[in-house]
Parts: sequence; structure tokens; C-alpha cells
Amino acid sequence: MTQKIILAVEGLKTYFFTRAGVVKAVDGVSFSVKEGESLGIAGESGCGKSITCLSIVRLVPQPAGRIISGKILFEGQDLLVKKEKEMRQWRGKRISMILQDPLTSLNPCYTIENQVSEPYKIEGLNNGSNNIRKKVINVLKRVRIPSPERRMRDYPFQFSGGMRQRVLAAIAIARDPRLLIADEPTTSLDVTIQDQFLRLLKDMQQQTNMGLVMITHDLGIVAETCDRVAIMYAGKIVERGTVENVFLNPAHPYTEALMEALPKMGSKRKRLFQIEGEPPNLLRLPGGCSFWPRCHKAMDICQTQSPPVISLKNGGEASCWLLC
Amino acid sequence: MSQTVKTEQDQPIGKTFSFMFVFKRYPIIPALCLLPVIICGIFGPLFYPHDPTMMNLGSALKPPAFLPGGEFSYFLGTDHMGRDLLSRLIEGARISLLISVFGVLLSGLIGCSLGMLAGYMGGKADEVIMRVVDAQMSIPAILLTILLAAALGVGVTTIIVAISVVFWTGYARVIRGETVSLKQREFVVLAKVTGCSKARILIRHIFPNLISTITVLATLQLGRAILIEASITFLGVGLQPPDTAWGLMISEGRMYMATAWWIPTFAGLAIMATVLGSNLMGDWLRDKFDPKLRQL
Repeated sequence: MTQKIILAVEGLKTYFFTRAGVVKAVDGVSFSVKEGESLGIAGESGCGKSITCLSIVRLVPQPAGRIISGKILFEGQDLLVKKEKEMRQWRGKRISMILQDPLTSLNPCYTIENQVSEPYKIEGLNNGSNNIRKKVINVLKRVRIPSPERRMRDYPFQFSGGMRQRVLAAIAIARDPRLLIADEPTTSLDVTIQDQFLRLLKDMQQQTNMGLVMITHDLGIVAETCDRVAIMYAGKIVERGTVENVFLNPAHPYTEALMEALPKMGSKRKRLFQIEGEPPNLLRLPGGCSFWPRCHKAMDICQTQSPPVISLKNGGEASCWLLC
Repeated sequence: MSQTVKTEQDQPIGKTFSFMFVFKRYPIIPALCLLPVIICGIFGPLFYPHDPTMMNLGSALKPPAFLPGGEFSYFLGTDHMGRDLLSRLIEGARISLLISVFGVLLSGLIGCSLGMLAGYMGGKADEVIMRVVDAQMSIPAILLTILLAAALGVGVTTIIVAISVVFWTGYARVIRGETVSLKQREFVVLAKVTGCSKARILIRHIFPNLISTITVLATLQLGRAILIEASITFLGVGLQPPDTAWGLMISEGRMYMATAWWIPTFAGLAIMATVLGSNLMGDWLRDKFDPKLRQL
């Protein structure tokens, strides 16, 4: 079965021009998402995951941030050459996003019904408020909010964190997007609610066959929900491949170190492995491979030249001099 | 719930039923100051004892009823033309209310729209609007009002326009600041992601969150507007004699301070009560809208 590629990002570069210098938040990132597939983008905080997402919907914080080069092909069309007005019609309708913090993402002034009906109103659905109400109830049912007829009259502060995240999911899927970007959707939820919510996401994806980009720093979430994964470090993707391959046979030393740092069940309790040093300052990246100061397999060439992207035997890709 | 369970809410500060508690909960003092003015302003013509502009030189400079020589029918006395002061006070409330309410509304409309625009758009629009605000704020309000009144000619409309032109900067500055902080909130990002246009975000998502601020500001500005109106009328560029206004009463009564103190005094008290009332109301509203104090 060949699935259609929905989103293909090629050589995306998003830089921030600040007083202190140019911050290369996203520096030549490429990946693709197929229909019904979920891609995890994982990495430390500040490695450019969120900015990658915001670049896709063209909402990079202005005026400092700018997309320098690259292509974002969504269903074959380059989003970067689109006009803002055209782009706005695609947001929400074709590409949706679930934001990080459900506690602040809802407008405190309006009822849930009011906010969930917004996507429909934007669409210009004007055949009666009853019709919209039915749709709202429907979509709230899809995200499994119990007794939506009653709950939708409540205000956000009357909802718990998990419930609010579901409301956000409802807003995101209201217009049946082809691609859903979830930017750390579960960071502010506790584990049991996390699990429920991830299952909900998976189910929704299977129902509608949409593509899912899951941004997270939690490798457990990646393992649980994603088909493929891209590991980011300092604005670059250092390794990508299927979840199985990347987790079981990491090719890049950074991925390897990340896996090493995960606590394992059953093994004797000892101090967890730790990646020495700190993530680099994006203003002053080390020359060559960004990871070499922390890499215990670093060679001389790593310090001077950035590594090429190598295709692995198992179908993945990684960029490291060790693999040459 | 069983009776034995007593939550904290069952016995708030109100259990020891104190006056402070009542004053915090209900705007009693501001209401006492403002209600008479509002009632007089709206229903004044129905109950003033005399025609406020009718002169009767035979009964000029009569003292208030509670002083020797006073007459009950002229409860607060009469001025140098024999006009009933109580009726004039009531009529003055109409003018003051009219000017301040419309002045505050108009300036609020201008100030809030420009403030929201500056805050949300940022960049050049922000620079231009806020520099105009800065420039205008460096000119004393009274001076600017006098200039405008002199340029536009005297009259109620002129004063309303002048007050709007002077006051919009106050709104613009506060609203801009609030908008800047609101536009970084996540729900605005969500609105963008959902595909809202800029106008929609401003009107539907940012404006409702500003309403409490605007209400507080407007109430505080109301007092200032009354004061400005009275000041310029006192200075002679505001309303002119056939009209009745508090500022005018003070200005006319100034000469009789030594012999008939009641002419400027009651008008002054009326101004003071109204301004105090609207300031206190503003404070009360601010506390009311503050979620941290809302429990009280």
C-alpha cells in the first residue's frame, strides 16, 4: 500500500535576527509525513522543535524570526510562496495544531461552545446556530467529553487540564484537517491523563487518516504513538528512521546517548547515564558537528567539518562522521 | 452535604458582620455620591422647584433656608440674580453628566481603538500612535482644552470634542500595554492557528479581555472630565451664561464669596462629591474585577 505524502519539508532554515546575532533555530531540516502516519520530532528543549512547527504554519514570531530558505510542500504545494491571506484559509482547515499549554490556550472570556464553534464560524457555516451547535456537540463527543450538551456551556476555568486539552483537540480537528501538529500536547498533563490523551489522538488519526506530527521531549511518548521519529539537536535533524530502528539500533552517538539515559525496567538501580555538558548556545555553535563537544566518540574531523547525511541500511538516515 | 461539614466559605470575613465588609462588597459611598447626580441629570426637569434660569432680582442673594433670613422655597438660597440655587445645581448635573459621559465614551472609542491597533500591530503603527500620545501628554490638559475650545467656539459639543481629544491618550497608553501582553497569550496563538483574521482576533479575542480595564478607566476618567469641564467653564471658555453649569456657578459666585458664600460653595461641593464618587467607584470596580480580591 503506498500512502500519499502529505507534508514534505526540505532544507528548512528559520533564523532569528537578534541584537546579539543570528540564532539558527532551524538549520536545514528535512522530513516528510505520509497520510495516516505519525512522525515524532524529539529533542532537548531549545533544539528547534517548536519553531519547526511554527514554520510549517508560517507563524514564526515576527519580526525577529524569518524563514530563510527551504521548501514546505503540503500536498504538493509550497506553503512558503503562498500569500498570508491564502495561508490563513489553510490554517485550521488543512493543517491544525494543538498547543502546549491547555491552561492558557483557551480564551477565559468565552464558553467552551463559543470557542469550539469558532472554526465553523470562520468557515462561514451560516445555516443556523442549531446546525453549528450540533457540530460542536459532535466534535466534543469525538474527543470524548462526557455529556457535551451540558459541559459546553461551561467556561474554561470550570474544566480540568485534561479536559481542556481535549477541547483544544476538538478545535483542532473540527474542520477535518489533513495534518495535525501536536506541539508537546501532554507536557502539562499527568501520566494517566497523558495516556488517555495519546490514545485519543491515535484513534482520531485512525478514523480520519490524517498525518500527525508529534513534537515532544519525551521518548516514551514517541515510542508509544509514533511510526517514525526524527531526533533534533541544535536546529538540525541528526537521525531519523522508524521508531524501532532508531530506538533499538541508534546510529548517531547523540541518539545512542539519549537511549542510554532512559531508565530501564528490571536492571539494577544505578546512576542514570548522563550526557555531559549543556546544549550549545545557538548563537555560538561549535564548528563542525554541533554535538562534538559532548560526544565521547568525537574525532578530529568532527571539529572542523559538519557531517554529511548518510543513508542507513535499515532505511533511516543519520548525519555523523562515524558512519562514513 | 451534612451539617457538620463546614467549609471555609461558610464563614468568611462576613461572619463578624463588619462595616468594612459591607463597604468592600457594595459600592455604598460611591453610590451615595453618584446616584443623586445621575437621578438629577436624567429626571431633573421633573422636580426642580423653580426655573433655574428665571431671574427674580427682588429675592437676590437670599441665604439658604437653614440660615436666618432664608426662605424654605429657596432651600439653598439664591444667587445675585435671584435664581434658585437648588434648581441650578440640578440643572448643572444634567450638563455635567452629558458632557462627561459623552466625552468619556468618545475618547474611549478613539483611545481604545488606537491603543489596540498600536499594541497588536506593533512596528510602525505602534511607533507613530505612541509618539503622538507622548507628544500630546506633554501638553497640559487644561491648556489644550482651552486652545481647542477657543478654536472651535464655545458650546456643549465643543467641550465634548475637546475632552475626547485630551483624554484619548490615557486610554491608548493603558490599552496598548494590555494588548501587548494579551497578544502573547496562548489563546491568541490558538486563534491564529485556527485561521482567524487579525480583525477577528482583535475584536473577538482581545477586546473582551480588555473590558474590565476599560470600565475602570472610564469611571476614573468620568471624574476628570467633570473637573475639566468645570475648570474651563470657570475660566470662561466653556459654557456661557444662559446655560447652567457648576463651573459657571462658581465663576459667577466668586465675587460674592465674602457676602454670599453659598453661591460657589454648593456648586463646589457638588463637583467634589461627583468626582470623589466616580473615583471611588473606579477603585471599587478595579477591586471587583481583580480575581484575587473577588472573593471578598
